[in-house]
Amino acid sequence: MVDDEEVTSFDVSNSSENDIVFIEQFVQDVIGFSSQYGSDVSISYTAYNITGKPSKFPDYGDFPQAFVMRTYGKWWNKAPSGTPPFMSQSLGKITSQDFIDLLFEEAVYPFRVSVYETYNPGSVVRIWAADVQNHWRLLWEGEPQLVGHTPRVFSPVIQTIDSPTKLLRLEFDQSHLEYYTELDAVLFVGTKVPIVSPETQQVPSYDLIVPKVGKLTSQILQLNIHNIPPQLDIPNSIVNFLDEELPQLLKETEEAAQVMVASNKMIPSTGTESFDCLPDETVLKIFGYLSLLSLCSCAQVSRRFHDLATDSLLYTELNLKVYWYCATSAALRSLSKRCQYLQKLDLSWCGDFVHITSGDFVDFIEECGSQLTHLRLNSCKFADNRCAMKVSDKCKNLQELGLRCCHNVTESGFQSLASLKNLQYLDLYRTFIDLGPLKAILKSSPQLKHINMGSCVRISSMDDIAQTLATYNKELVSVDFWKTYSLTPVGVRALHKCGKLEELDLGWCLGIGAPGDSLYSLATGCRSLRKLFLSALRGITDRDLEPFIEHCPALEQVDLLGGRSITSDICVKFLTRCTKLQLLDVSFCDQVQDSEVAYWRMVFPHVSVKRSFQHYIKS
Amino acid sequence: MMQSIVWTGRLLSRALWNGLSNYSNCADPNINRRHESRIVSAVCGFPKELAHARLKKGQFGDDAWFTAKYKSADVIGVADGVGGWRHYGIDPGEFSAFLMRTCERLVSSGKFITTEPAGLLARSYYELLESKQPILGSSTACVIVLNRETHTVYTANIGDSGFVIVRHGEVVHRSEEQQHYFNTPFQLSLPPPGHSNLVLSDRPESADMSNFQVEDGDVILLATDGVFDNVPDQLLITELIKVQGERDPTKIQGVANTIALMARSLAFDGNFMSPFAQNARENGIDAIGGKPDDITVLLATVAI
Repeated sequence: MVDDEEVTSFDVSNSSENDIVFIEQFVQDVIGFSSQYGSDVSISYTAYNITGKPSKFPDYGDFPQAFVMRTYGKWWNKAPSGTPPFMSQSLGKITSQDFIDLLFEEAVYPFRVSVYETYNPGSVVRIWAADVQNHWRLLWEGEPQLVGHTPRVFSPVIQTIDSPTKLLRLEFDQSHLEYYTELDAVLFVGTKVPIVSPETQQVPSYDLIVPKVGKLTSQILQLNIHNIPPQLDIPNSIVNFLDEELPQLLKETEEAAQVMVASNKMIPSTGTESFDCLPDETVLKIFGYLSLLSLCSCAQVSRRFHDLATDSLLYTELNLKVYWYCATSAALRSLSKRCQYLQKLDLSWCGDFVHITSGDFVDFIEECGSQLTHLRLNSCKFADNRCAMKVSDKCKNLQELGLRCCHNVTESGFQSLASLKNLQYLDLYRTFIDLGPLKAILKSSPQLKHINMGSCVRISSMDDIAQTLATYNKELVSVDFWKTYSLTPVGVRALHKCGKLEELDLGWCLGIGAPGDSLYSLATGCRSLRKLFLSALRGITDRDLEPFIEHCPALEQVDLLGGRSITSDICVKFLTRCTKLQLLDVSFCDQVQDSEVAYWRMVFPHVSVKRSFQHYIKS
Repeated sequence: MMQSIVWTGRLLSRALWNGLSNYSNCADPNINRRHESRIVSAVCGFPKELAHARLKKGQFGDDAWFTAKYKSADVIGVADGVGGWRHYGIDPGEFSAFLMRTCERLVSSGKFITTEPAGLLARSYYELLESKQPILGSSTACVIVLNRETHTVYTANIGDSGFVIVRHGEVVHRSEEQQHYFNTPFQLSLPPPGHSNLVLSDRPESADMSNFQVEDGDVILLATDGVFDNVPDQLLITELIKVQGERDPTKIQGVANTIALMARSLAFDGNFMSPFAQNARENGIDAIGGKPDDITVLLATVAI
């Protein structure tokens, strides 16, 4: 491996007066992400794989050297543990489920971001840059795409900003994808000096830049650093105008027209009477359909609108996750006055760069937390022990708590959660919870229905946890053990006492080895199972799976990935006898032939049969 | 017959040199100049079955190798996939190649500790379990880390691959062979489900470890048993002396090629009393001749 420096710069100017030096960088480090397929103790399928030069491109397929996220499609939302978003009217047209924060060596004015996608491309929906003041600036936004099976360098035309940056965030929406998406690398091209002309504050037209990019691309190609399909990388200004700018322009004119219409209406002589004559209750009802941003705009219209738009009844649910890029402590403070009846709060992804501190959150909970039943703090850097203790102290009615990837909560924080007695949903994915605090929480939560302990690496004995669940949590509906290595057949067997279990994820629980009769006990004890993930349990055989076909007629999703001994016989049984089956993953099951999968897809069109593959282009 | 094999070997070797020189880390003089590499290395080898050999980077038959560097550490390694798995329909080369490729990835991304090459092997082994594609088989492995700041090499060895460090014609340090019994080396394995009891499997932690202070000019030969089973020490040393203190990658490549070719010729010499045959005799087996096997030679000199 030749270790070139990550930064390569090209002087693409000819002797003209405007020298522009483009700097090309691959990712130096990953400083945050919302989920990954792999485990933190491994280098396979993990977020870190996006660093450096492309390692697989243009190979296409399911490779361990790529960054893979935890979910795809709608399967996880459809499962019993699926969580609907709060304040759904605030969700824009473009939603996202995951993000990754990428650090580059040198701060530059962004010119181009190229994402190397090596499996199921099309999930990137937003690209952000953190400016020198640590504020997030949107570089690009677009709908997710379905482009079929082809490796590609996704390289949208981005907004120019007046600040250098070395930190990018990508947002992903995989809900439309057939299978996991995989990303190999991200190339960031930028300039040391702004391309924006300082006098006019205008970006030079694309016509001026295009020839230079052409040169840059040709130099890259000559040096054979990587292959950008030229038709993708050289912006064709007309196509680009039609694809990106024209709709944007139309949208903006339309919005402007709407604003004009609206503002016309606000002038008393032209008929605000229509709104004025509506009773408060009706206006409130209408406001209930507005997004949070619209409500804030309405609050600035008139005194009456202000009073109505800040009415606490409109703020029983609050979703700041969709506004993560602008959620600050000031915003939180101003909202706290309206949130006296707040029941559901989603602060996930919010408050990086200390825009929200744990103190701010504690103050907010002190003021608005007493009615809270649902709280999501996924990937919140400010969430620490103090926050956990405050929540435990104040939110006695809390039913749902999401702490995914909250790495600042430690033993004492988790221990305090044991004083919550009404928990029904607890998401601890990739947290550092230990055995003791988790057991304490489980014992004090008799109503617990859903628990996610995926990739919790600190739990020394998952068997102990499984036994605790079986003893104290009889209402359990879903449990996720993804990538926890200490679960053995003993723990699996214990779960048969959870008679209401509908969803079980044992993916990559490599400690299970040869399951013995534990899966038989499970199948006979948990007959309402709807989702069963057994990914990479190499030791399971057809005999271990028979009981599920026999006893669990409700099965909808079954994942058998990497089961080396699993034959097509058992797959056919799943397909024919589990009438509710919708998903069957037989990727990397060596005994199952591709032709059989193709046949099943034809004969069982109501079942989505998944089959991953690896296609080498590099020799 | 013998002659023709040797000739084929030579012809092919020429073709391989050209191909291989591109693979070897230091064959490109530009790279050397830019990075002032402190371990100058070259690779050569032959698969046992030349006829249906795969020509993949980092592999000779069931053997695999890697070189990588991170900050002040140079790391080289070889692995020899255990051939018996072919009877079970398992490609033995896949296991060793994955093991070495993963070592390379771990080193390049700095996820290893210089003083713990055994830890590197262990991590690479456990990474096999993390692949969606079930990879089965077993392999011997030997990894050497040179810490350029302390001029110390740290080694880890499982099985009968190995290394010798030669200084002015004297063997100053060498690996210890780890065998359960004759011709059955220690090995890292991932047996098919249900076969765990029937398969020899040694934990990556059972690697033989050592560290050794190197000097400028020392020659390090890292090779699979295809070399050590066929070429007597004295012959090896005669060749290794030639690159004592050598910094020209082309010359090092030349000697690596010679050693590989020598091993290849002797392996197919039916009348040669090879080290393997001698060993067999010591174990009460009447044998003569070389031992046809995959051959991998990684030759490096220390430049301080």
